[in-house]
Amino acid sequence: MLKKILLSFIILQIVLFIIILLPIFFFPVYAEDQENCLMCHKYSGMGRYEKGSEGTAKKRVYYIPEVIFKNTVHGKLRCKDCHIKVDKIPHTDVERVDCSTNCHIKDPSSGVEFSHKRIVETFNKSVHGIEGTKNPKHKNDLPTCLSCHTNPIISLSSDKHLGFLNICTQCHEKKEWAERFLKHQFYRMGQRRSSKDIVALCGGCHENRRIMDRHKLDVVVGFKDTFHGKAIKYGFGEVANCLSCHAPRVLGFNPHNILPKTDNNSPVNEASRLKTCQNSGGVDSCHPTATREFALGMKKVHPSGITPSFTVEDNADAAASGEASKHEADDIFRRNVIYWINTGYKVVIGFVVGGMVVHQILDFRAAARERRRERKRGGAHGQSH
Amino acid sequence: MVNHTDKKMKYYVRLNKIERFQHYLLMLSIGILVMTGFMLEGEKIVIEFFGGAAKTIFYWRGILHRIAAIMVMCLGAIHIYYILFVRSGRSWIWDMLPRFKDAKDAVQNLGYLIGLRGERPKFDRFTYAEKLEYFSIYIGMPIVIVSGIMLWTQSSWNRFYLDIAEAFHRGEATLAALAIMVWHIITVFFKPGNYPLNTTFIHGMMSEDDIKHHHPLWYERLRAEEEAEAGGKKEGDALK
Amino acid sequence: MKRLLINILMTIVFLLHASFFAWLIWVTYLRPVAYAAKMAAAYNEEFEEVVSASSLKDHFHNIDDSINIDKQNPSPCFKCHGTYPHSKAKDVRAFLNGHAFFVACEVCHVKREEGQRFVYKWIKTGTDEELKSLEGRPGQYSAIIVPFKEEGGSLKRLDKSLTDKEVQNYLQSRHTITGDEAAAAKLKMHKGISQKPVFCDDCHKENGYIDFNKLYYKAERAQVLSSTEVVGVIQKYKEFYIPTMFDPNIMIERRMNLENARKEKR
Repeated sequence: MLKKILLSFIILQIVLFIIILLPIFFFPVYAEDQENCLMCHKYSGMGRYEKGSEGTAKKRVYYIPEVIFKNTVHGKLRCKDCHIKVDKIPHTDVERVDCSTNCHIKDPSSGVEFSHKRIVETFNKSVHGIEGTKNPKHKNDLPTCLSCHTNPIISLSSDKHLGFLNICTQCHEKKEWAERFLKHQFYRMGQRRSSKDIVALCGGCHENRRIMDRHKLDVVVGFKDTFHGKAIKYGFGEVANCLSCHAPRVLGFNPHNILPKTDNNSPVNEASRLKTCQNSGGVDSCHPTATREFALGMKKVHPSGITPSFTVEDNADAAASGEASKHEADDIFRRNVIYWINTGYKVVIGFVVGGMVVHQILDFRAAARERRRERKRGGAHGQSH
Repeated sequence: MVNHTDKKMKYYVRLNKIERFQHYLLMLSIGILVMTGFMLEGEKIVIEFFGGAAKTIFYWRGILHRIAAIMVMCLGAIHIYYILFVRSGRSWIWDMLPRFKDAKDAVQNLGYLIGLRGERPKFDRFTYAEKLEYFSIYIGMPIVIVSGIMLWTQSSWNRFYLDIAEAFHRGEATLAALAIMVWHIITVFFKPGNYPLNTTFIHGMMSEDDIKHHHPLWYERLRAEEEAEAGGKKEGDALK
Repeated sequence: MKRLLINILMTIVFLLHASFFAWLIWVTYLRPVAYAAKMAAAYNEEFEEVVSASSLKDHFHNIDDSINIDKQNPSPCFKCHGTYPHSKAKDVRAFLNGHAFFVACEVCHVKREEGQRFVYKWIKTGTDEELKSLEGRPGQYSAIIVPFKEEGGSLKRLDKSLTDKEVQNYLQSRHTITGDEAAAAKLKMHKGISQKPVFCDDCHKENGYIDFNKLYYKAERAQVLSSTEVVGVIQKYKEFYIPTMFDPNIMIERRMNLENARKEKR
């Protein structure tokens, strides 16, 4: 038995050796693919169906479009920097990619191997992370790195910027490296996702009532009825999107450390909301002269307007203190005022405009009748028209 | 179309130069305000049609809305000055003031429209419909101006009051836009006798026939004035 | 004439105002507030499409369009077996599926007598045109390798086509016919298909079924394809699953299971 295992192990070693070494002689074109994963994964048909829930299937694509991938943000990495442990063929030992893995690329600022570990740790402590979530029972609802991040092709918004390349290459010999670095710089300086995309991205979960109910959260759909939402609908990016308030850079937040609004440090908590609205100090100052009343006049800035299907008793925040529930009631009263103004106008408009339409129809008919009469009479009034 | 150069027809001044100027200003500013304002409610499909230009459109939307708002506020001031300190303006507001007769006119006219009465009541210079339209501006304009200024200077206000202001601004604007379209524009373009366009707002004149027909009391007054003037002239001549 | 122009102009004026009026009424009274429209759809996400292509849009590896071969020129087999037809042989199914994009199913699955050889050609997908050189990237020549049988001096194409009568008959009636009829139709359709497909190393070896040199591969590439590199990998995985599609009993049973599952879902 042992002999058999040993034998198969040796065979495996030999096979792997052959697979890894041989192509180097045959494929000078694919020199960058040091692990020769593309020997198989270059074929577009590589893939299979994976059983989904009852009667469904998911498409798993194992194809790598080499030319495109090479030009993406992660194009310089070796496959095995992310896909660790893939040592067997076929890959029965595959594990999910963990973005906090160290990769072989050295961080020029520290000289050590680069890793997303720190940001992953921060994220895990945030309200979206496994440690920070209030509802670990439904951890499958939580976003992962790939929920928000894609692996975009590294490109310049304007070819003009490539003019700077001449400056880089005065000292840095390798043009290819310099170009990549330059592109990286410009890419990171711009806004990578438009406000519209950010709203759509967050909305992917926060507009889904099924998920929000599980986490006892209000569905975020009222945002689209606010002025900010309407401006974003036009693609106007100067107004606040989700992240401007929930992760304002000026207050030291980024999308990875979003906190629940009940947390005193949260930028949308009442303690710091004024500062968030003002957002002064950065290049994108918002309402620098905002008053406390402006920031806190309404507790909910983008109410969904729908009654959540979880009950108020369920809502731990509301039940926690009488103060909170008083505030809640205050907010409901204020929302009702707005509702009644709108309803009042609807009624008034209905009566006034409806009455006008009726009056006009009758008046036009009468006028036509009068004109016919005048004409018959041959009166000067009728003729003049 | 009414041709005011028609030699056979006699014409009277319905709108003088200042009034026509005010009307033009109102037309322009309300037009801009309604269009740029309701762009906020724009349908997604339409916005997507404009693609990348939508961003620029939105930017200019806000600026144009504010320019037109300033225009309309100036117009309000001009008009108040006009009706208080200018002779023709004082006559205008005097003829415009609501009287008991207007209520009577309204009832009688409605009766005529639904066939209960044989003929229309005799209207003076302004009918009850025109007076209603004129004075509704006195209610609507302050609401829109105050709420508009609040929204413009939002940072200094309580968010709750801002939401109220927004509700009033939108509601009043909707009411005004719909009323102007149904009540005013349709009348000017399509009322039998006006079609295709009542050109009074351009040249300011109204034919004797139209006045006789639509504003008989005013016609009597105009005739009386004319005769008095002619009589005075005659007396003057006689004195010579 | 002038009157006509004025009438046209006034009609336009009227329509503009009427539509703006109607839109304002719609906005004020009838338009569903953003959330109402959303809510209607919110509970409907349960149904997952059998194969959702949209999930691939943001794939980390930036998958390009070449995986959508089923949309460009589907093999008739894909209609029933899917674009990734191999699923049973867990170790090698992805490899086999990879081949299905540029090799006609019949290359491996056709019936042949012991030692019988066929002629293989690159045929442009959807046509009868033969490819005379290979350009582009491996596996993406917009052509597939098709087996031909020599019959009395002329070559007969062995792969099925969507225009074949049996295929068309079956595809049109497959949702209405009974299990027995379906089994019979399938038997007919799969005539000439072998229960025992060829193995990897029937082609990927020296003097295998396919002469890669004749398929316009460069000499060194052809050598790789029939050399130890490929053969080395595949020699370990000789355990293949015989497809069940030719066994009417199994097919009937499967069909019933599927229908029961559908009923339960409802």
